Amino acid sequence: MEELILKLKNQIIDTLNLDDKKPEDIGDDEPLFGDGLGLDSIDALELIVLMEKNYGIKLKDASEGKKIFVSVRVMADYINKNRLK
Amino acid sequence: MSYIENYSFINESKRTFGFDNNSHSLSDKETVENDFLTSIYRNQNYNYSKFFKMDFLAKNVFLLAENLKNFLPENRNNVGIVFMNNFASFEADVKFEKTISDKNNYFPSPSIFVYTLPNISTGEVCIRHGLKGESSFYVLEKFSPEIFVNIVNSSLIFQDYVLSGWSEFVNSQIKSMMFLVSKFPKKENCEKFDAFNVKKIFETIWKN
Repeated sequence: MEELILKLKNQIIDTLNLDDKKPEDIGDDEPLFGDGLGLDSIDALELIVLMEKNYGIKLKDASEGKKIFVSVRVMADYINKNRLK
Repeated sequence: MSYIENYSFINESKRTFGFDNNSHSLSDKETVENDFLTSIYRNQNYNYSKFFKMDFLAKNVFLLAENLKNFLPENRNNVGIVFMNNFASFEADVKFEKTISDKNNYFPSPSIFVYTLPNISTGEVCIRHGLKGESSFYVLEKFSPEIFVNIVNSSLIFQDYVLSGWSEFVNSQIKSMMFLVSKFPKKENCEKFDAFNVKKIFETIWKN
């Protein structure tokens, strides 16, 4: 799980062009949106693409993202349970 | 009548940027790790994380406007922006095309897609500096001081200030400039915003 969390942080930084962030800057339980990492709606769409591209997870309903993109840990947990690759 | 309050520029071939007579140059060392625009951002210690998400054009327009932010009026309700170039959003278009060109690896990128409209760049500046005036983007084949001045002056009919700029690639290196033009000059000895002066400044910047 810890390995996946670190991998996911690197993928988020790379995919969302967070050039001024390092993996250690992102807390495992830190909110991804709002006061935490401060991602926006376009970033949410990019996270949906990231899940499909890297883990074969296709969200049927974009609103599902609200429950999944709470933090890196919640995302990693969802990926562990639903990944196809 | 309209006046040039100030202007900013970016000249990659000379590795210079700045405003008016205040020119900075970047050393070889400063541009090793990053592209030229990111090197300017780092050199100036700007703190706007959204910069890294922007495409090349938006970064370019953003940096030009940053150089002029101290000259903007406090009330931004009557400040507009007009930007022009001869490559539209080409860099973002090519990047986006790469995300959809392979049928077996077809993942259109939403964050790249938003920059496939060049006027996103002017929108970014409006958000950053709270400009509430008109915003427009023109794609022209080449720079014409006469057309540039005419379009900007038309925009000034409805507002008091306009950030107006041009950007082009010369030998794969960016050359761009931005004027803060106003109807009512704040400082003395402002040059008139006309084709003669624009051409003069344009040529001076590229020479230095």
